[in-house]
Order: sequence, then C-alpha cells, then structure tokens
Amino acid sequence: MKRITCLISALGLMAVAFAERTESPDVILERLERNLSFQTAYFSGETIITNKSRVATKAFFAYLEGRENFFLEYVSPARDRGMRLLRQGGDLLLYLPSARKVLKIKKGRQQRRLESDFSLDDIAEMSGSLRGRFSAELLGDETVDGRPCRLLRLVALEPGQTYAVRLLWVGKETAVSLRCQYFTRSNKLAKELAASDIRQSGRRFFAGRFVMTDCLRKNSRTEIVLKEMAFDVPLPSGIFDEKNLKPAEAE
Amino acid sequence: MIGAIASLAWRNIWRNWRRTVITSLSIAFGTAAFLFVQSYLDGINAGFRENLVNGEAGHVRVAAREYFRLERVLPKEHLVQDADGLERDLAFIPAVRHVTGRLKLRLMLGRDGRNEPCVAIGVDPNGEKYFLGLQGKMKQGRYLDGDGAPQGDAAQGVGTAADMIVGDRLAVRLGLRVGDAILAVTSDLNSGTYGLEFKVKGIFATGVRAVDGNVLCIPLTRAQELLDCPGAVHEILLLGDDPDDAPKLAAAVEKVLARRHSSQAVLGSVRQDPLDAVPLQEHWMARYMVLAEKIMNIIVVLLMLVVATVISNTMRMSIMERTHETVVIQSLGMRDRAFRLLILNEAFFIGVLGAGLGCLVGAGLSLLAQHVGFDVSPMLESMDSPVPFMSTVLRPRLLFLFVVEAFVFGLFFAVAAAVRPAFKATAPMPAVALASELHVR
Repeated sequence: MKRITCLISALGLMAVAFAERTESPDVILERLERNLSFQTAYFSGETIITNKSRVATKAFFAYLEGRENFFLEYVSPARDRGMRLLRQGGDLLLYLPSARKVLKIKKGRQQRRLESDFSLDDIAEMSGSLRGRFSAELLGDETVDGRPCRLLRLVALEPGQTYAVRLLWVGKETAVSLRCQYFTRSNKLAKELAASDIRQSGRRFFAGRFVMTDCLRKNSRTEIVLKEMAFDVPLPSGIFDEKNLKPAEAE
Repeated sequence: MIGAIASLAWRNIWRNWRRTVITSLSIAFGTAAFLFVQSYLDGINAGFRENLVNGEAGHVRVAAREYFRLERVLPKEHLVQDADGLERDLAFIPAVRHVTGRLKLRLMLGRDGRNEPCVAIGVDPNGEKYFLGLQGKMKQGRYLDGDGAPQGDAAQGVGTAADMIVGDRLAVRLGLRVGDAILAVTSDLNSGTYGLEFKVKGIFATGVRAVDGNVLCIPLTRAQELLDCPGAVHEILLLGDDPDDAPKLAAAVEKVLARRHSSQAVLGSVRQDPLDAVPLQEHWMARYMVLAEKIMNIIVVLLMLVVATVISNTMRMSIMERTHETVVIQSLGMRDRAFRLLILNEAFFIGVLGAGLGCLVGAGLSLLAQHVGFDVSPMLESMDSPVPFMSTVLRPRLLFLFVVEAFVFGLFFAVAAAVRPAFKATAPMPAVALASELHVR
C-alpha cells in the first residue's frame, strides 16, 4: 500500500511538473486576463509623477466596467480637481474644469496626451486583452522580486499597436504581470512597467503599486499607488454616460 | 592718338553691325543671367534671414541655457522668471530698439470631434508687432489687441474665451473660421492636463508653410495660465539697429544678465536657471545659412565661368574672322600697338553695349520677379517635412550693387577676351591672311 501511495504521489508530481513545463503562452495569458476580468471595479489612489527635480502628486478615483468603459476623476491638487476622463470604446473624453468644456480625443491621438510616463493608450491597455492582438512565445522562467515568473515575448499581429514587441513577466503563482518591457518597432526599449504590492481578493490577485519608467527620457517615472480597490461592486448610475461627464454646475 | 583710335573703333564696330549686335547680345545674355541669379539667390537668403530674425531668433535671444540646448523639443520647464523686470532692464541698453517675451508650448486643439496638435506661441501682441509682424499678415479677421485678455468676466477666468489667431493651413485642417470657439489643452509644468477655451479672432498667412500649418498665437498671460508659470517666458527677443551688430548687443545683454544674477543671489529672490544671450549668428539655422551661402557662391562662380566662356568665345570669333581686314589695315601703316588698342577699344564699346543691355534686361526681370514672386508651394507640398523659415513665395532682391557688379563683370570679360586675339592678330602670317576668304567691307 505504501508503495502504491508513493507511486501515485510520484506520478502526481510528475504530472504537475509536466503540466507546468508545457503550459502554453496562450494559457498563461488566459490566466493573466482571468485575473483582470471583472464586471465592474472601483479604485482610488495617487499618481506620483517625477520629472527631473519636479514631483507632482495627484489623487484620483476611478470606475471600470468590463474592458471598454473607464472613468477617472482627479480630486487633488486644486488645479486638477474636477478633471474627468471617460474612455468609451476607442475614443476618450476629457472634461476640463478650467474651460468647463469636454474635449473628445480620437483614437490614435492619445499616445502623447498624459504628461506622465503613462500614455492614455497604456492605461487603456492595462485592462485590455492581449490575446488576438499579439502572438506570444514562452522564453523561459525567471524571478522578479523573489517571485518565480514565466517570461513571455509578445509580438504585435497588427502594425497599429503602440508597441511592436513586449516582454512580459507573469507570476507563476499569482498570474499577475510583475514586469513588462515595451519595445518600439526598431526594437528599442521605450518603457518599463513594474508591479508590486501584490494583494489577494477572493481568488483574484492584483498589484497595488505600478511604476512606469520612460526609458527614452532621463529621470522620469510615474508611480500609481492604489489605496482602495473593489471588484464587481455597483457603480453610480450613468457614470459612463457622456452626458454626465460635465457636472451639472458647469452647465 | 587715343581719341582717334577710340573714334575709329566706334566706327569700326558699326561697319558690320550684325556682328556687333550678335556679340553684344551674347554679352547681354551672360550679364543678365548673372544679375538675375545674383538677385534671386540673395532674395532667398534675405527671405530666410528675415523669417529667422522675425519668427525665431531676433537679433539676440535670451533664454535659459538648457532651453537653448533642448529647444527643438520645446522644453517647457526651462523658463526666464520675472520676464517683465528683465525686459525693462534690457530696454535700457542703448542699442536695443525692441524687446518682447514669448512662451512656446505644445497644444492639442479640439473642435467638433476633430483634434490637431500644434505649437502655440504666447505673445505680447504689441511687442510682437516688431517681430512676427502678424498684424500685416492677417488673411481674415483681426490681429490680437491689448493684452488679448477676454473682456467682461475676465476676473473670474473660467469659461471666458480669450482671443487666438491661427495659421491659415491649420484653420483649414480644423475647419475654423473667425469667431469660432476652440478648446486648447496642454500638459502644464506640474504634469497636469489643463485646458482653456479660445475664440478665433483672426487667421494669418505668413507664406511659411511650417508656421501657417502648425502655429497659433495666444496672449502671453493665457499661455502662462496654461503652463502654470505666471510672469515667466521661455525666451526674450531683442532687435537692435543692425543684425551684423548682434554679437556686440549680446555682449551688452550678458552684462545685464550677470548684474541681475548677482543681485538675485544677494536678495535670494526667485530661483532662476542660468540665462544666456545668443546672437542671431549662433542660431543653428544661421550657421546652416553660412554653409548655404558658400554653396550659392560656388553656383555663382560656376555661372560666371560659363558666361565668361560664352563671352570670350564670341569676342574671339568676331576678331579672328577679321584676319584679312587686319592685314590690310597694318599694310596701310598702322603700328602693332595702335592696332591692339583699336581691337581693345572695339571690345570695350561692344562690352559697354552688351553689359548695359544685359543689366537693363536682368534688372527688369529681377524687378518683375520681385513684384510677382515665384510660388514654390507645389514643390514644398511634395516634401515630407516643411522647411523652416522658407516662404512658399520666393522673391529676388535687386540691389544697385548687383547691377554694378554685373556691368563690370560683363565689360571685364568682353575686354579680357579680346586681349589674346588682339596680340595674335598683330602677327598674322601673310599667306594665311591673303588666303582668307573674308573681305573688308
């Protein structure tokens, strides 16, 4: 009986090891995206933008619905308070309290919009699906901040993608993207995103801190620290409605 | 004797008037071409320089050292603080005629779902009249007036549209007309996104494609609000009397900057990046223009060689075909020296006629082209990136000096070309001369 138990255990371990070794890139991406899939979500936190000697801290809250709808509002500092950002499909709407007007920014004009190291495209893609847009190749296993990771190389299938190639380190245990390097078409490293402060909510793992470094600019980095996070929560009604983007008092 | 020879030479050139006319025409053609090309190249050069001075460099420009290093990417954080105070100090320099400050920033314009990135120049509308001079280039509407600030609800500063003037090509892309409202958004010094609404007060056309298609002007105070830098500018431009004196003016400005820097250090006032005063001659485009001028000079020299060859050949042919006549004159007792003088006198008269005619034709063509201009916009359309400071209409610039140069050039080569044939003609072989089929008329 003891022998049979040992044999079954050994076979089990071998099966797990085999399964782990043969986990396909698509399966890794699927796990990664399953972690990010939610009906609705709420976040609040701070963006800390460092540009040479200047450091700017901005507090915000945001609502997400699926992968398409995204709403963000700045609450501080005073100059930025009340600025709202609504992403619907490909287009982006920006409510500017200083002008009391809404600016619609077409897709393709969004790459340089935010003066942080995140472009709007970067933000949109953080919750976007990678499968179907990139071909993935498993390069091997590595460790990031002491966490074992799968290293994937993603190559854009269509020329319109912001970054042609990405290297993605996905945590083996958490299925969270712990590091991502973005490369230009000329294979130059453009940006690097590092995620840390991994938290768990139910079966879902997520990062509470992101640092984006623009490798083409000196002394420039943007840190997003999420303070509150809630998934699949009820959202204020009409929050993604373009008509509600402009506050009533601005009418 | 010289008077008699000159008189004889004058009569001689009209004995065969067709030959004289043909020779003169060849000299006239060469002289006219030389004069036209000179004025054309100078016109392009002057246009470039004028656009550079007015649009970009002034005679001297004051800005933060780092701004000069990075100016092609429009670095917004390298500012001249307390610009009004510095402008006042600079205006006291005796050689300074005009001073103005500018703030340059990238904007995203949005209207009816259309977006266009562009470069905004925050200007003092009055000061800028002596630089960009857009008040004279308005195609529609009016130039900015006063400080360009909105009327009425200005104190509140929110929801009141300030004035804006835009380049005609940019206006076409956005479908803008005078009176339209447009939203302008930028990233400020603190990495925030900030926007203001503007009203199109006018549409300008400078003829410089890079400007008309990408640039708009807004009041300086509004540009400062957009960038969140009250009282600061990116650059201060100065005009003196003569662009060639710009290095001297820059040295005087440097002294003022040093004095202010030391007093600020003592008082511990606003933190200011090191400032530099850069004369026009050190602008990257001016350096390029020095190279371009050298290339143009090479073109002129090559043209001179071609024209000189044409004139020399024609003169030489007209003398060499008179071998028979030469022998007859010499056989009548004219000395070699007098004969050479006769030939050179004839060449001189033909040269005066040809070069004079050439100057008239060349000057006429240059003046006509100066008035009408050459529209090179179709050529520029096909270029991927616009040429900065280059107007779409090129105009020659005729100077009296060029007329004198062209006349001297035509005359010199007419006479010089006659020297060798004159010497050769005085030593003809009698048999060759007698065998010549040409006859004295």
